[in-house]
Amino acid sequence: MAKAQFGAVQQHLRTLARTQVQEESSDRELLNRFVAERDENAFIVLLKRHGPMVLHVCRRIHANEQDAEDILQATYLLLARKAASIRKQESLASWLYGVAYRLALGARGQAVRRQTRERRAADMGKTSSISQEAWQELQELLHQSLQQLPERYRAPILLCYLEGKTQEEAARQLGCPLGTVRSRLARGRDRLKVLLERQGVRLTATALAAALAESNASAAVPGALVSATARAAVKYATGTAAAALVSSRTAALLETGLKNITITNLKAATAILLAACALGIGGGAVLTQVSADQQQASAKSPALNESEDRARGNEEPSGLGQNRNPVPAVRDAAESASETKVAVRGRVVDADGKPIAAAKLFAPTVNEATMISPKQVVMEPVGVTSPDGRFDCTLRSSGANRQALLIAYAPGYGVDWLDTQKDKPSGEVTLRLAKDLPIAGRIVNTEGKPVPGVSVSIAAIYVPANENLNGYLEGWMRNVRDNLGSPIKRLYVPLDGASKGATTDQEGKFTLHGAGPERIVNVTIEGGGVARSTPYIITRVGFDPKPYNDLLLKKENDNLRVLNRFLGLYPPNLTFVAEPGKTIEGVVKDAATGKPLAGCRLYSMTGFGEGVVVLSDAAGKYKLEGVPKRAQGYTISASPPAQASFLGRNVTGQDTEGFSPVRLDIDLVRGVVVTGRVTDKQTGKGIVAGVRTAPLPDNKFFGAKPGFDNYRHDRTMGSTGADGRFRFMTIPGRALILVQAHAGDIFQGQYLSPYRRAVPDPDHLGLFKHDVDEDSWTVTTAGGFESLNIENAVKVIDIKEGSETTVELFVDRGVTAKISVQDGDGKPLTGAWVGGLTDSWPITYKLQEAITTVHGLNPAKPRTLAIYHPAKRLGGTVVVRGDEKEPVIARLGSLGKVTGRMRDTEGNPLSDAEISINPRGEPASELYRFADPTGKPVITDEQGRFALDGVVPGIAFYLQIQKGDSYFAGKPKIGLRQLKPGESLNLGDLTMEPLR
Amino acid sequence: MNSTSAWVPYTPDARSPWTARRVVHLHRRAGFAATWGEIQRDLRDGPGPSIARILAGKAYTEGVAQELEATAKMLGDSAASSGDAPRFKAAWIYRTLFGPDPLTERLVLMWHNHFATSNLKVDNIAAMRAQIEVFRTLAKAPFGELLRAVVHDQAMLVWLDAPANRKGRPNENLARELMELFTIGIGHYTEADVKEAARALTGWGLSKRGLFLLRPLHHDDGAKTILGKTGRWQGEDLVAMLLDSPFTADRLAMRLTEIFMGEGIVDAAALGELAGGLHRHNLDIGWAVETIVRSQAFFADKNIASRIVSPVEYVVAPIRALELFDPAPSTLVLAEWTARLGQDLGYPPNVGGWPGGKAWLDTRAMIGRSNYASALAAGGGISRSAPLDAIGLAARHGVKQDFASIVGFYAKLLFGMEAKRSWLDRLAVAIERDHADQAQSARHAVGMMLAMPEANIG
Repeated sequence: MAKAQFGAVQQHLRTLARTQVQEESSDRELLNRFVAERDENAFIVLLKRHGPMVLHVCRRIHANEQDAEDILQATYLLLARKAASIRKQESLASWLYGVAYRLALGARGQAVRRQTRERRAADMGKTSSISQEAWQELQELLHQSLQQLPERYRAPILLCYLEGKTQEEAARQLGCPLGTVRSRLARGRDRLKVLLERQGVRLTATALAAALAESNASAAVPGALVSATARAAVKYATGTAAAALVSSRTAALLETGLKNITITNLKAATAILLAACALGIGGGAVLTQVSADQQQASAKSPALNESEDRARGNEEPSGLGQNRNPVPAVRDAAESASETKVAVRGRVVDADGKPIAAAKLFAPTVNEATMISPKQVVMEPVGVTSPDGRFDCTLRSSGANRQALLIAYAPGYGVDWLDTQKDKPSGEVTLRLAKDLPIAGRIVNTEGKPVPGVSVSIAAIYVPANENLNGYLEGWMRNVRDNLGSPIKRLYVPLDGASKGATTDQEGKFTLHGAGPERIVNVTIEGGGVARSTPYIITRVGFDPKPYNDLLLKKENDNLRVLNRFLGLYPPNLTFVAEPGKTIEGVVKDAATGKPLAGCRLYSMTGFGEGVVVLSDAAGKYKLEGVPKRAQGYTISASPPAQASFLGRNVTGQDTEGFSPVRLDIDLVRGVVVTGRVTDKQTGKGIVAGVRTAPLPDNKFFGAKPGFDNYRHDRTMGSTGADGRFRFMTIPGRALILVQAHAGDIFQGQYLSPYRRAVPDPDHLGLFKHDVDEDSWTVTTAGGFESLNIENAVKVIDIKEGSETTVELFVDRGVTAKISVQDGDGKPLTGAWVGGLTDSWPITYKLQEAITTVHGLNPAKPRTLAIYHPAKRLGGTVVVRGDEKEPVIARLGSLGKVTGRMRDTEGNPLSDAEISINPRGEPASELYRFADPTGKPVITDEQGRFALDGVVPGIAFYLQIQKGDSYFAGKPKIGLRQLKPGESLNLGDLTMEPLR
Repeated sequence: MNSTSAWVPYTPDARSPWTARRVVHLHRRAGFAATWGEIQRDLRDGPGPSIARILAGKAYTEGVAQELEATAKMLGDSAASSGDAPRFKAAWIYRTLFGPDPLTERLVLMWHNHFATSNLKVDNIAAMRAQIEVFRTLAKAPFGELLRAVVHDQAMLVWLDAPANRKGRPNENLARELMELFTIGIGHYTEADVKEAARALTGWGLSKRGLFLLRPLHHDDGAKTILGKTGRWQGEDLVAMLLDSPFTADRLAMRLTEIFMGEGIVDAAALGELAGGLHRHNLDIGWAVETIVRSQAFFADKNIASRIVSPVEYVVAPIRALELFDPAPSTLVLAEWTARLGQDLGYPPNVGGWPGGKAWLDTRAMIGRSNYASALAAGGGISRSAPLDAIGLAARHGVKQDFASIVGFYAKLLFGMEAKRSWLDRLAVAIERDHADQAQSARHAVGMMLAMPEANIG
């Protein structure tokens, strides 16, 4: 055959083969074809194959459809340019995913979302359940976490969940066996869960699967977009300027993409939640709002002379110190009429117990009707100590203003305080003042020059356990995040009134008194043109913050450091480099009429649970000053006055050059009213609860107007009064209405919810899916997802346009039973820790008695409780149904032990790895989280050996193995284990492989 | 060096006298411009002491921050501990603007471009800062010292994936760039050399704390043939081999002339001569810099105003020349400007660094530069609390208050030359509308001068 002829035949065969095979070709083959031959068809196949996933990522992060399409184009054009250089070991889906993700983020700017959900969440420790998180945020977190997943796990997840491929298809595309895809999928999911948990989001297996499935991008890419992009790609790959081929928006995105900017995705909600937990909002609540009728419903406390004790459920801590989003409190004339008084007497002494004379006593008070800033807290003097250090004073409460905190201060000493709400003092109290360690610092700008006129004040004080910083600082080195919550005593009141705040002088210097030694002091730096900053100062002479702050730089702490602007620790003689502040200003208007809206609260986050807040003036104008510059832009939360019928919303403004002001006008739209009542099914009485709505997927109003997408920011929420009645603003259309009971008991110093978790609305069972593993219900909503873990009631409603919608809701206590905790000999045991006493908020309680009540039971669903007795080192589990006549006996046995020796896949001992217990089921995992019976971290020795003591018998658990940033799994898997009392399990020699 | 060499030392004579033009050239080319006082000082003292001051790192005496080292360290530490990229860039600008030693800072920028490590991938401000400090400390050292430090530097190893380079699973990035960009340059090695060099570098990694360590398990200890030599080469052997190569000296000579000499000014012979000298002097950068800055070629007419200034030079120089020290502009904003003009400190576009030269001046950058000039004059755009007091500065230096004298003063200060007749006319027309406000007119005129070609070519 002649050579030319041969060539022609070959060409023909190739073309034939192409049309048949192309659809089944692997990504790599298609890419190669595109690189070698600029084959447009190959590119189209790739577009059709992965385009929906890319579009989906874009839509998730950037709600606007046009933007999503622009980003899709930009992503694929980048692919065209870079096709040849995509690394072989990387899957194309992953690459596209990564690029689209970053482009979408970059295009969106940073959407920092403020969280205004019930503070109760913060009380409950770091656990956050998905139902609290707006779905969008979860999705973004998920996408962010996917980014962190090792390629081998990420690729199958992307293909199977985001692209909806079968596992067989995924195996073909990835070129690996089906079994591998399956195991990587499973491990990838596990890793993802861990990553999410690290961010403070706990997902049940089903919720995660649902989250991923919801991410399934089934929508096809519009045909025109496919062909246009493919054509542009061929040209772009050969060097035509992008601007000539695509929209200017796409071209701009491309420029970003070519620079390959990586933007750390910032998760405000999670972070604020984290901050809130870490700093214990609510735990040390200093001011609480309680309405008059709530007070009347309250019980009298014998501990205090006056009716200070309230129905515990009425408490809604405002987390006032630090302006952690105080909710505007509108004082009702009727409320101010009733006044309560609490007498407190005691002594103020120094560290040696010697009386301090002339020490001043203060009660922080808010006198204004609307609280928008901690600056409104007034230090009301309520007493002075006599020469023998004694005092006798009265705290008053009326309406929204309640004095609960008593602060003692004397010059030369650090303050001490008492929370009459929390500490419940009886008889004479003692306040102990240690010799002060003044904070003497200097503020300079980024040019090293002193900044005069900056206001510096103490915003919060944290007292570490044992009133000694050693434990706190050691804990920090172990785990920054876990440690943030460790201080046991917190004061969130600006000390200004007691011990004066300071303003920097010409040399930028300032001195603050009264914080006290061996404490963590949160200082607010603001004014004088600088960005509002809130560093933490360790009041210990000679403190060197470097090793602690170096840890903050680790990637896992990015959201603390970057998002929350957590500035790390400083010594008491700090030099603080302050950045200039930005100004954000604009007008708030009624979207319908263009009329200005006065009294709207505008908030911009500036740092760790921190923000700048102002109210709009009569002309609707506002001006937020001292906001730290953020290249990603600024999110402003606008909240209309409580009595207005407007819906609040979050708006994002682009950053401007340098430090020129950002102009951001905000339009608000009216919502519709939902009213009703939350009733305790057993008592028939109304209860205090948080109520919110979640629009269902078919709700056509969702996102239709400014603020109508509030559900994403979780803003459509109201609280009931003590009578259970509520009234709040939301959007019309079909929605879930969800109830979280706030009413409940205080048990052993902690909140206890007697209510059962929500069960599906019987008229709409089809909307609810059940997670068997975690025993919780899930519902898909408009742009969101709800997992009913902490809700106590749920109902499907159709909210009318133009008139009020009224809903009756019931919460159910179910039945109760008792357990009796006994040792191995059947003797009653006090002092045990128990997980699983409640159905909702399943936290761990320490028991004073041997017999205790188990709440919210349903005989059809027995509950397994996990128990641990730290003093006797005993543990066990017990199953309770609720229909038992006698207390169910929980007999504890000796703790079990696991030993073994670990090697890596190359046979080297796996030394310095941390081994911990990861229990299955909420009661046991909560027990381990609160009262880890394994005690100190268990670390493998240089031979890779470990001995983990402290396994509660009867619980099912996995071993978690972590070294540095990597997690390890056994090869073969160690699997789920369970020990008998006193059992010692030797796992022998184990081969471990990294999961990351 | 023979007397026909381009690098014979400059001595003033009738054809090339020691004038303001040469003093300004010295400071713009080997630094970031000088103040009027520094120019007058150097004019008085002559080339010897003036050049010596530059080389000794004492060229700037005006606007130099008190306790510079302590403050620079504090700002750098604070930036590193915040992990915040803008702060890191600002602290860098701070040193450039307020330090006494512009020559070292020019060399730091040169090495940043040569080793072109980007935080985009490194994603670690503390490591980036540490690398820049290595450049600063060893800016003028024999190149071997610098190269050995850089190839063990955390940011560099992350940047070029060194820890992923393992026995049996080589990653060639470090080996390739080491040869192509850091030392001998393209054309002087083969693909096979890259592969073998990568083997020599296997096992290089970082400790948890980011310190260099050799992981013997991952090191390929077998025989390799690199650049024609066979042996059981280790990474250090490879570096030594590359330092020995005359091509490395060629590449360094090219780099140095890139920053100190105008485009197309140095011919092949002169370049070869400089490279030869470097080779003989153990690649001593300090020797080469001194040779260039003292040379006739450096002060030759054709070398003056023959090089497109980089964004950092463009941004920093007028602040110094115009003495805008107090109140100072925001270094954060200045760093933002350099990025906008195409030189984002800490983020070179790729391993090859910034293309430089004419590439600095695309349309967007030109518009950006002229925006910067007016922002600088107005003050607000550089976050300076006061606008430029163009009349006041001229008056302080004894200049008459008429328009021509003021423009003349700034022409000399900024460009070392007399104002051209044509400028005066053009400026006069352009600022006609401001006639009511003299201060505004003068400021506007200086802003316009800062956007002229003379400001972009130094």
